[in-house]
Amino acid sequence: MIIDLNEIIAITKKEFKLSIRFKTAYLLNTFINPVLSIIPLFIIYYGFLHYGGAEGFAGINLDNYVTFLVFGVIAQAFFYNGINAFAFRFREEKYWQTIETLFLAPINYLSLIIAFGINVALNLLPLLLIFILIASAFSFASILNIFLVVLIILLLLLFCLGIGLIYGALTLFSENFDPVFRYFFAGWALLSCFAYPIEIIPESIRFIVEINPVYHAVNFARDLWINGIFNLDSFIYVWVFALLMPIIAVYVFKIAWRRMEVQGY
Amino acid sequence: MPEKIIEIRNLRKEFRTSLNPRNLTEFFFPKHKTVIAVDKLDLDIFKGETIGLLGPNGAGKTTLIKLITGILFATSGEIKIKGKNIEEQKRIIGLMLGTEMIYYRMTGYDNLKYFARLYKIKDFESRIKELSELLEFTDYLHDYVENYSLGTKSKLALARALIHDPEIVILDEPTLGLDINISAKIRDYIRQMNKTVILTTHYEKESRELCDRIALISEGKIIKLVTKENFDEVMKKFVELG
Repeated sequence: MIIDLNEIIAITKKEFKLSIRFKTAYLLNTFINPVLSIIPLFIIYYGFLHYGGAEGFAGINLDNYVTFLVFGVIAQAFFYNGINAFAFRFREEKYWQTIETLFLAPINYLSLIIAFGINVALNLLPLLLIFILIASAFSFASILNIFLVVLIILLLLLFCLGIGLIYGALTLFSENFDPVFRYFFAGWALLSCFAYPIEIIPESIRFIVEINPVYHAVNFARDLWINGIFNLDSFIYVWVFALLMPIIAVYVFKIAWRRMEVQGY
Repeated sequence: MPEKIIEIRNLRKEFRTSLNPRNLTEFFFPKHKTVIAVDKLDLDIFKGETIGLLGPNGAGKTTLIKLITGILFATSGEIKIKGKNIEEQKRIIGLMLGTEMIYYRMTGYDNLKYFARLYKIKDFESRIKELSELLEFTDYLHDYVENYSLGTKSKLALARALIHDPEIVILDEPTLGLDINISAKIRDYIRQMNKTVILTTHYEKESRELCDRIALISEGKIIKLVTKENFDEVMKKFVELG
């Protein structure tokens, strides 16, 4: 089935309208939460580097730690928003008794992923812009580098939405899976090095980080912005996962729906 | 002989449900039971007719509707719509499940526009206008659905099911809980639609007024399928079933 622009526009608008129905909650969830998450990290790094006498470690120093953290927090926000987009909405729709419309309408589920992606990106756009401005204040980046960093973040989002659709489907069809996934994602976030360099991870499990596409996306953005290095391997790696994961997710979604059906309401 | 639009053959739907645990072992390893919601059901539905599915609560009417629309999958048996699988024919089906399937946190207009675009209706503005005027809820079109009365919600749900002008309209309890006037208006509209209609209802009057044939369903099986003329026979059986 071909991806249809009408479907994407319709789902994006519907998602956006549902998101902004309660505007204060919308602003707090999408903007204030990520800003709050950077504060403790900033305090820790600031303490080590300004008062603790540390000159730096693993390439992080007084000059670049803010930029380092900024990209970690941006990636973390896109990671969690992408991962949780479907689970959150599907569960709401299950209890609103509107989920049947998703199964009834003759839509391509890839349109669903793209539309949810546009909505998450729109929600996080102010955060992305402000954090890129902050990073620019600490170290200069060319227009091309800014474009590449935004691109890799959007690819990261696409990958996470693919994972999110599988998570959403399995929690929709059986809520038993929900905590299992949440623990898994917490571990995944730890192994994505949002707030610290890979050198902190014990060598025995470092290979997990090295095969983690999320880490590659964060690492690509940091390398490009801080060191001016275009990491081609990470770039290609993230592209491949970002393109494959949504297709796999749609396939898993359809199988899960056929085998398990919606339970618990 | 009118054209068969839906053919249902040997349809069976089982649900596996967990039983309430009675001890600690069952808490961790719950026992299950299999509920047969639809059992070896055969039915042909003809183009242009209105067929009523009548039966007590839990008879399997809504499950049958969800199977026909592809929301649920059959355990065995098959359903063909105009000779094809449901997946290929979703576009020609309109479904109303009471006041479900509408977004309370959006306006009525936004709901209809959303579904119109999903079904790729080009001139959706005029379709929304037409339906809201016919069903008499134009004044509330730009209000949030959460503020609608039950009657207006039902009208919107019906408009949503009809937005893409489907050939087959499936209505599950379309007038449940509505007052006499609104029920009458919805029944009038259903009568005028000139489409193939599958209707579930608990109301005798509604079945009598709207249906060409009535299938009496109990425990997932069609126990009687009669024409309008033999309606009293079905009602007698229905009362016997309680």
